[in-house]
Amino acid sequence: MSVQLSQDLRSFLEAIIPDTMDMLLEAYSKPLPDSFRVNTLKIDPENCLKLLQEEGLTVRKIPFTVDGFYAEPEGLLTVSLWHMLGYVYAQGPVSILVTELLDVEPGHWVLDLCAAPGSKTTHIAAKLCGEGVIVANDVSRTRIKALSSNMQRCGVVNGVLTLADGRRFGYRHREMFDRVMIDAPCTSLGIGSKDWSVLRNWTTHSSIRLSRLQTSLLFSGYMALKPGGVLIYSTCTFHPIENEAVVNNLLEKFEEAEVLPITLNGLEYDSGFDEWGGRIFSPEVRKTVRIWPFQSGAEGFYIAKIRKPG
Amino acid sequence: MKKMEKHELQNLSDEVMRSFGARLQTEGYVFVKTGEGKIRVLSEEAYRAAALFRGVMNAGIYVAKQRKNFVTLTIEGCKFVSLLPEAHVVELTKEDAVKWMRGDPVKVGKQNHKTVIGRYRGHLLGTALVDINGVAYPQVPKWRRLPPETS
Repeated sequence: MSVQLSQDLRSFLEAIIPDTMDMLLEAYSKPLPDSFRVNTLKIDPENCLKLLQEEGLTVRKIPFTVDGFYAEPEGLLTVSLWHMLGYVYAQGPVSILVTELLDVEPGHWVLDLCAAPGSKTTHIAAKLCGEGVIVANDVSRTRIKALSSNMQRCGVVNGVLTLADGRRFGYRHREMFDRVMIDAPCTSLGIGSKDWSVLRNWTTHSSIRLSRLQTSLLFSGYMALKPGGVLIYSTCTFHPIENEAVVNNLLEKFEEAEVLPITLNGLEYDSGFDEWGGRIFSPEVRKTVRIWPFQSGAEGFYIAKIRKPG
Repeated sequence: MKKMEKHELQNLSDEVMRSFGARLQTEGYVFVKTGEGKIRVLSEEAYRAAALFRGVMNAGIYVAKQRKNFVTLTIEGCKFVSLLPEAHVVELTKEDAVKWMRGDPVKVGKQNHKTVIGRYRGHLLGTALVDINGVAYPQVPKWRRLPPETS
């Protein structure tokens, strides 16, 4: 079987990456690598890696992350005793990187606005080392169960789990957080190799519809940020309407918002677009990054890092 | 979420001591009671924070459940006890540790108490109820069990 794309998606990819579309299709045809980070709330990396090696796993550092490792053979990690005890968290390499870019320090108050299933929440909790607070919010009662289980498994004692509409959260709790993570719901083209139906069913309209929600979430997250605080807006998709356009909407509404440059350790990426579909974006949007699956060898992501001056 | 009163916390500590011969460490944390006798632990800062938000579903981690005459500890709850020499701990082999984490009964030999803590190479695996034949029934929640085919 080969990867099938919807007509809308084919047209979009031909427009956005005419020269590298074949590389993307090849990346879609391969499974994502097994990768993880050590949950430092429960065990130190050195001891944990020893335990995994004894289980027959070969682990290798992910070069562009601080905390991430690849694990081989596939499928062994998540059925190991150490995974169930919460010593390791299976997470995509770029997803690990996204949390690292938030620069969380012990003592911070951090909001994860769309937190389920908790990969980034539990990583943030590890960065906090038990000091400060991580508020993990999600709008879905079903998804919040997985979030709660993962926070339990990882031993997050300084976590508060809320069920609320992320679009309103920041307006109710203004300027309370040092860091905000907004890993927004998206059309998931960056993880198309996990589920090819995403690629068959993608329409431009689905991106336009989500763009409104993403803009509301970003505004809300920005409201929740303390002056001087930093937020990450990320999606695992590629269309500029879900990405650059959303960041541009923020810059138009909150003129003081500052887009920070992102430094990636040896990982190839593309800079954000300054225009798409006839719409001109702020030059600041060029500082955001788009990582394609053929660049990371794993998921594709779009990442923007934004600071509220003060 | 209601913070446990001093006397309630003392009762819990006493029950942990009776059930496991272990001392409950409470300093620096807030213990709260939720439904069905479940006890959660959170940092003091998280407890203060939880009061500020609407729609709080839970906070901190589930560590223990108070039952009629005894208490059970979760895997995370075991981190909040210091084991005394007379602690009710059973040392498990790799095979038994996997069985334990699959939620399967594990033969541990006759015990003088209803509850034991499982330990594999120094890693605590939560508690199990032991029957009169010395078979331990680990209290591992379904979502956390190793798949049946794991060896």
